[in-house]
Amino acid sequence: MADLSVTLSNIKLDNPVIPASGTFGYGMEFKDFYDINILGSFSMKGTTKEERFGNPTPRIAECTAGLINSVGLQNPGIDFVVEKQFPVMKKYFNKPIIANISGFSVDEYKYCAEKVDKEEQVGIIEINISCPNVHNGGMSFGTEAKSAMEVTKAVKSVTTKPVYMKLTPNVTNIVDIAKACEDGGADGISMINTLLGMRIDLKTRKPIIANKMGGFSGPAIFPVALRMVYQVYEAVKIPIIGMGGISSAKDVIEMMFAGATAVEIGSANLKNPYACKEIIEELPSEMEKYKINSLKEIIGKAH
Amino acid sequence: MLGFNSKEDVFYEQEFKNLGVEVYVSTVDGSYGTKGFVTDIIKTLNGYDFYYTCGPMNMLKAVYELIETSGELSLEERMGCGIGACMGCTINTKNGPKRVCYNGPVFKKEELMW
Ligand code: FES
Repeated sequence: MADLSVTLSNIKLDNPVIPASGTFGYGMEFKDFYDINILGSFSMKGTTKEERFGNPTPRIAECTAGLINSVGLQNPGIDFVVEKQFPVMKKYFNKPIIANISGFSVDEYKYCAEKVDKEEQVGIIEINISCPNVHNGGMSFGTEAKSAMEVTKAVKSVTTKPVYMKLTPNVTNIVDIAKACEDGGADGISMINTLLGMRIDLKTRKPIIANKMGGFSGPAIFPVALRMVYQVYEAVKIPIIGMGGISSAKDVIEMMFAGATAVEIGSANLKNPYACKEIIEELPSEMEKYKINSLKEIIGKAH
Repeated sequence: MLGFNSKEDVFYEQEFKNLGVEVYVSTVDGSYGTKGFVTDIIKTLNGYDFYYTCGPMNMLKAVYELIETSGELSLEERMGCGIGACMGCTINTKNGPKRVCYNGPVFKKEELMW
């Protein structure tokens, strides 16, 4: 029988399929579509210290093989999430979750990280230093090696759980940033966040997105994500959660060959709420097709 | 009241009539019914008790401004998922942020912050 299990920093996952932050809320809406306990884990909506409304609408623009979003980290704030959302979440999801947090200062990252670190439901803390949709925050920490390392160190100093740094592709050399995170003590890397993109409405002659630009994701970015995971795998020793345009079991396998230990699936969930379920179900037959008995064994095997 | 661009775009006029209600049609080019928008018809009538409306945002806003009674509006927004997960369609309301796809799309006039 095909073995789908993988291990991320000592956390055993039944399979490598993890819905990506921002496309799965807190799991609440998807649990009405299928039993989400079949997932390896899920990465919760990026949460900040303070409650945020996010950006004005339109926040979404369609593209060929993908979409642009500019939600701007809408969330009810970490205190609310931990006190109100986590207990509810426990009722429909019984595996460790990935707590995705974001901040506008090093102290905010620390505050959120410390808070989720205490929660038994949290398996991994994913630090978003790559949101393209907020000013003076998020991505700016992830675009320089120095600040990426600074956030990593700060978060590590107040946590006990594995910390994964989520990187932006909107940099000159993502390898340098990944290395800086590893040097700062990161337990893993999540990559990639969205690519900065834009659409213009021909009728109004103005950008479709209210904030003008947004994060481009979807199948179109898969080769870019794959290439970056491949490069980072060669440069660091810590595990990688690969993401960016994955929309089939084949893509999952390809991403693992490039060096990902697990994968996150984002935009595909928006197009088809059953995407992750279908991918998990398709994995065994795809594995058989390529003579793979255990997914663990293929990690980084393209190198 | 049904508003269209032109005569050939008109639909559901008979279906609404079959329900036994008075039907008013407007077309932007004047090729059928009243020339102009539904708001041009709204202005000619009065004594509204309540309204239900759907259509493009600019029309919804115009109706909202024009009719003083309470009503319900079916909002439009660009959506990412349509199931309440991506927060792509959020509007701010008097009851806090709401997702048009999940908490709406129909909102009470009083909830809106227009
Ligand atoms: S479109 Fe995704 S939450 Fe409404």
